[in-house]
Amino acid sequence: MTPLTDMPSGARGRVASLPEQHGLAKRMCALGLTPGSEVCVLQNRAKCPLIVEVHGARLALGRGQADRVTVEPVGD
Amino acid sequence: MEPGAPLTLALAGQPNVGKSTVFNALTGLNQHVGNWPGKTVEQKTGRFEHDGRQIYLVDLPGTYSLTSGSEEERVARDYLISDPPAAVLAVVNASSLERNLYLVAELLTLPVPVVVGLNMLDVAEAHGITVEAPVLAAALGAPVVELVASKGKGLREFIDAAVRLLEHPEEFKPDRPAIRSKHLPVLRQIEALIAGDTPPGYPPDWLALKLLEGDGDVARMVREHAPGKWEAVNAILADHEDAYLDIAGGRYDWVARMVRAAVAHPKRGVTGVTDKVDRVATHPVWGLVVLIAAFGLMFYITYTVANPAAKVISSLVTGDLAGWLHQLLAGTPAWLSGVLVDGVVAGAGTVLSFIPILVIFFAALGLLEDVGYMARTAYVMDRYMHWMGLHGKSCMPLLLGFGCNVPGILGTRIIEDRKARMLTMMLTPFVPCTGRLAVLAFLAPAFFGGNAAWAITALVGGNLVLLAIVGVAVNKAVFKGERSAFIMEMPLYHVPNARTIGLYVWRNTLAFIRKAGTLIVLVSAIVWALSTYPGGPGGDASHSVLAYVGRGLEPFFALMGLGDWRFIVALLSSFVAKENSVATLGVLFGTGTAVAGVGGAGAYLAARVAAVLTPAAAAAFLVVQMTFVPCAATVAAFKQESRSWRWTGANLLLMLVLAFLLGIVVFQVGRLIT
Repeated sequence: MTPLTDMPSGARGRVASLPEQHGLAKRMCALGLTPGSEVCVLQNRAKCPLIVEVHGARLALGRGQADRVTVEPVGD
Repeated sequence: MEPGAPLTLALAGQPNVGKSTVFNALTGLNQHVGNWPGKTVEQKTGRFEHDGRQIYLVDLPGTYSLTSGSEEERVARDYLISDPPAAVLAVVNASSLERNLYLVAELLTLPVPVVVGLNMLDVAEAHGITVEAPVLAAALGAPVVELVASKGKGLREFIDAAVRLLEHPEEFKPDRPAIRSKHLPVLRQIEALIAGDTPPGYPPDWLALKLLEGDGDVARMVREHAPGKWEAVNAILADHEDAYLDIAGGRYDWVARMVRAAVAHPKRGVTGVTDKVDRVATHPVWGLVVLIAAFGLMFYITYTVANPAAKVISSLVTGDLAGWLHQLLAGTPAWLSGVLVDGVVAGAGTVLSFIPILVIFFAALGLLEDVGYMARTAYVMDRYMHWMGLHGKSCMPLLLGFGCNVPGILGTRIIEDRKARMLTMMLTPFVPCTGRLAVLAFLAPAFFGGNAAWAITALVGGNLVLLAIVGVAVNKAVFKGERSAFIMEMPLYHVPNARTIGLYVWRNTLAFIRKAGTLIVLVSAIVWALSTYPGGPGGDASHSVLAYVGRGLEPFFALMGLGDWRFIVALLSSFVAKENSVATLGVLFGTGTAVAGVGGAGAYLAARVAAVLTPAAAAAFLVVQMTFVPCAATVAAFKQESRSWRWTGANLLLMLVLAFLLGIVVFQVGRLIT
């Protein structure tokens, strides 16, 4: 299990857990980041927010938030 | 359903689905923009005729879900339950169907029939995604209509489908999402507990689901309605705090089932348009270059194209119209022609001369928004906004502020977090709006001659530096450096729609004229009266109410080199509207009817004003003008949006103190070096 921020650009994974904070986790859920969803990291550059694809939509995710989402990496 | 009877339909959809394009295409200019009763959320309604039947269309706020995370969601939900429309038209974006159907999953649990409009099929196709509408309709058990709203395709059929559904309600057999089996017993338990004691209109199963989802609003409602049962319900909820994850997950399971057969995705490795553009547009270095170039170009076009147009309008109004009116009023009392020509017409000239600037500015902004680029500006600016404890989304309201601070303040609605929103609102008035830029562009050449361009750049840059310093300071002092969360959708790029942009320009410009226009005209008349009486028309303006007030403040303003009451009054009148400073100077320096800034006689006024001030005092005047309290319309918007007199007052006071401090420093330092 790794934080989303440790996933390089192009990597895929399955969401394992969301931040503890309910409000934030709920917003993530509504935008498609639910536990069990497959995410693809489209862009992960130092100091920039991440861009991920989940449920067919692209999301920008601040590093502080992405750091608190853990994923189970899946190979291609 | 009665044949031909009027119908109310509601338009729902997530952000970035082209919902407003659908709304605009259906209703055209027959729309009304207001607020939802008692809320700060914008409400758009419109009407049109369909086969001889009046249709009222209510545009629900664009939200990702209905789970009470935001006021918009609450508004949409409460409306659908307490005042249900005949049917809901749910617009979904075919290029991100999975995420879009999440909202449909929530809509289907409400007791209102739903028709799905599959929009942006062209965008989906450009990205290699195909969607089979009939397959999707069969899976959903609800009608699905193909739309290309930007070209007006499928809209008739969309309404037809809704009417047909209402004529044959038995055909609506939606496959509603079910909760995962793990939480089903708890759900039934809560439902049984609250049954018979629920607020009217709300289905018990829906209430139970929302309670389990941790919906604070619904919890409050149930608690107030059935206080006796609340303890038992609350005890169950406390044991299932994580149920919302399962409920959301369950909805996505349902969505996956719906799209499995209907959607074909491109093979991996295929790069679409969006990927190609984003390689540059979201790059840490190139992205910033693109952003600066885009906005630089936007301001360049705004001022090169709009300024000549503004001059033409201004000379028409303050020259020709004023002259004609003056002749017409010959023989009437002097006060009448005074208040009409020097007050109302001069004020109207100021307002009208702003229209070209605003139209071009809003058109450029609307274009960037409609293409999908605005989300990228937020992305690129995110790391810089972090210095102020803000995130990328705060960037958009600040950019809007360049046009006019009022839409900037309203634009902070996109920021979910209250703290980040308040801070962004505090900073927006530091963005130099077109009003202030016009004053600057008018006076700087007279004050600084060939160095005007440098002076303007320095003053605008100074405002932005001040904005950053205030942002960092307020964040540290008030919010203890706490950071807010940044989550934002990055829509796929698509071809802009002229109609959508046109209506965006129309609405924003009209709102400016309504809000600022009436105020400016009214105050121009008042300023004229206050600067004329008790001396009377044709008399000396130095024997007027304004002069007395200004003179009283002279000792203080002398610290800034502005010990001449006319400049004090000009600054005071800028509270009404920033561009009033010039109009007021025009009245007070007695340049007659040609007072509205950019007109031909303007150069004469500027020269007369410049002759009175030393360079240090001129610089101080412009600094104070640029940072002085926000205009009345901005303050009103601030109060309405913050719903706090304390924050509004704090903003006023902060800007007032900073403006005076900077004015004093600039004058005192400037005096030493010049």
